[in-house]
Amino acid sequence: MPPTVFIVDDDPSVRKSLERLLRASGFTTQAFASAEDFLACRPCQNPKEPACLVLDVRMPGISGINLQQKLAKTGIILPVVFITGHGDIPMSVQAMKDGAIDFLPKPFAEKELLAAVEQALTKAARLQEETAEKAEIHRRVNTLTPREYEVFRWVITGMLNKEIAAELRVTEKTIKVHRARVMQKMAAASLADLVRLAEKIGIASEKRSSSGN
Amino acid sequence: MKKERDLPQVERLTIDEFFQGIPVPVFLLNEDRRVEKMTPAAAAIFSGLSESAGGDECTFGRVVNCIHCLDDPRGCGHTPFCGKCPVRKTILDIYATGQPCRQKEVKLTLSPDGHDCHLVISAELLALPSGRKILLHFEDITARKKAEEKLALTKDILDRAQKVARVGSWHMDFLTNTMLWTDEAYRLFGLEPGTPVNYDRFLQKVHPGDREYVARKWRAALAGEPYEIEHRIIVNGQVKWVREKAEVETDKNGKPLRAIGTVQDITGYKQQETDKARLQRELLHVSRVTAMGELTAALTHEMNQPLMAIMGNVQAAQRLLAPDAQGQEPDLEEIREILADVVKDSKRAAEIIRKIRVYLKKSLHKPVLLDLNTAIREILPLIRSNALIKNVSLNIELAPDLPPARGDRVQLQQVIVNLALNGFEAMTGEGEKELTIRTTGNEKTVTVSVEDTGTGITVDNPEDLFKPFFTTKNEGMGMGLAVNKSIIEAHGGTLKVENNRGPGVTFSFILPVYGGD
Repeated sequence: MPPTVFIVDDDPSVRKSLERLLRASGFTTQAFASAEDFLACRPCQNPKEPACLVLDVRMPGISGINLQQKLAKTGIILPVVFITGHGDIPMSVQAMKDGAIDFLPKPFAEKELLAAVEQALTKAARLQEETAEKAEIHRRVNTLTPREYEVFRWVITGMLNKEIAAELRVTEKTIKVHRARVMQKMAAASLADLVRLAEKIGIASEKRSSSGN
Repeated sequence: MKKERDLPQVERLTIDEFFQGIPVPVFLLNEDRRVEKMTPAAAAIFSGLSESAGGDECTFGRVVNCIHCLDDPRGCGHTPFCGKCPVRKTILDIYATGQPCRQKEVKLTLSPDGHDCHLVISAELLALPSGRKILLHFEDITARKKAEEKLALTKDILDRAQKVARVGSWHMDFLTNTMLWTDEAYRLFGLEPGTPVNYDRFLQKVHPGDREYVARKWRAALAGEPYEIEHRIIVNGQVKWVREKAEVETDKNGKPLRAIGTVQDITGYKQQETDKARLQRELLHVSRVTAMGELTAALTHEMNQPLMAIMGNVQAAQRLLAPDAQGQEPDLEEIREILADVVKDSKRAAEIIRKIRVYLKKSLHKPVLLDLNTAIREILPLIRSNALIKNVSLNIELAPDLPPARGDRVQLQQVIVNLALNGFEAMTGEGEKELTIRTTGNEKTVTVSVEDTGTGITVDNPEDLFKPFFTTKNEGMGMGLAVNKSIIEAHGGTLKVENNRGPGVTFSFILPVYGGD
């Protein structure tokens, strides 16, 4: 199934023509007349395959900019290509800061749109990959026992087994066993590998935190 | 009566008789400094002495009393200043030097806080057979002196008042061709007070650019027209603005006798006016630009939607028709739909343009009966101050009895101001800079024309000037004339431009007369 491009524009003519153009260019499209309509479509916000959003800036009700912010707040990763009938520079600056792929003033040529959409889909693919990887790391962390998790948090700070043993008031040997099991469960080849995995899911290696996952 | 030789002719009169006949106060003093004879006028004063002797008032009687006491070294004793009394001194000097005294003015102060008494003394020495005598004549000029002082005070007040108000005044005598100026008038024109002046001297001070105008107005004033004008003068190389008013008095035959007028320094006021006009112009420009910007933004958004749709549709169709579509036949049904949509969106774009035209027409205020002469007079200060800044002489030729037009006053004024400003901007080079705003009318149309002496039009087709975004200027969008044309056409009129026979161009717009259609 070709990647999906969601289109949100209140102008029916523009909506229809963009759908036609993107479909003729080989994409799957799904169009919405308003931000509210798009928000009502749950599966759209969590697509299985890489997808992106072509979003009109000014619309009655929730504006394109607001929709972008709303999606970002709820953690939905959907790269946005803005389209606008106004040459609104301050708004475009804000949109780009908020992570928009591009800001296309209407009327634009297909080349510009397709380039932006390709870029957005590439980003989407990368983001999905990252998301999948994080989910896998989380899954592995969840297999650790509380004691193993505690050792894991100490190990990634770079402390020696002896020091960790002193800290946890157990023998060095016990720590050695836990450590080997952490490496195995986390599928980490080395300490550096383990630190990288921790960082990917946002676990700091400098300081111990009591919150587990 | 002067010389002994002359006396025999009147010898028939006794000296007493002679004295009785003289109507002014005259005393004859003998060698012993005593009054020997006096005329009845002198006696009358002397007789009034006793009543007024107690008061401080300077009376003639006192002086006469003094004369009676000339032989007394203490004087008359009436005042502590007797010893310094100038009358007494004058008379005693005559005795001492033997020189006559002619029309000598003396001032007498009779009390410390006192009233001054002004006298004119004349004395002749007479060598009569009965001995050397002094014939003494007094004239009391105190009242005259007081009047003079009062006059001087009045003049001083006038001068000060004129200085404060920066108003000078003048008087002109046509018989002698002389002028009297007040000090402030001299100051305004940068001349030393008292410098002899006449009309030509005044005219020399007038700014060369205004001289013809001032002279013309003055001739009209002499013919009975009211004279109230504003013009420039040059004082020490600086340009000043003055407002002048005058009234001319004539004899029965209308021949001018004299004129009296005022001249007021309005340089500061003019400067403010210029500043105000500049601000107004900037404001006008800003509001125009803003309105244009808003309109453009609205237009852009409205137009971009159908254009986007058309573009997307056409490019989609191009893709569908592309030969590499996996050997499949293009979906003709889809392409038909696309073409139908393209037509629909093109119509939509055209409709937007039409709506904007309607909107522009609607934005006209309710057209009303309009006197274009009045409308022009209202914006004259604005145009005049611009002319001043650009050093352009401005001619206003408004047709009397101009028929009324129908229209929006503000919009038409905007057109006229715009044409005038264009005219000023066209006159940047050397040569005579003259802008003429003229109204003419007939029973069907009224015409307003703005004529400059600038560079003229060099484009092949003058109509190009009225196209949007056409400009020969570095700044500006080139919308001015296009907007002017739209306004005039919305009024059912026409705007045209022609090169003059001489230098420059004439823009004119023709509007139908109110009720003429």
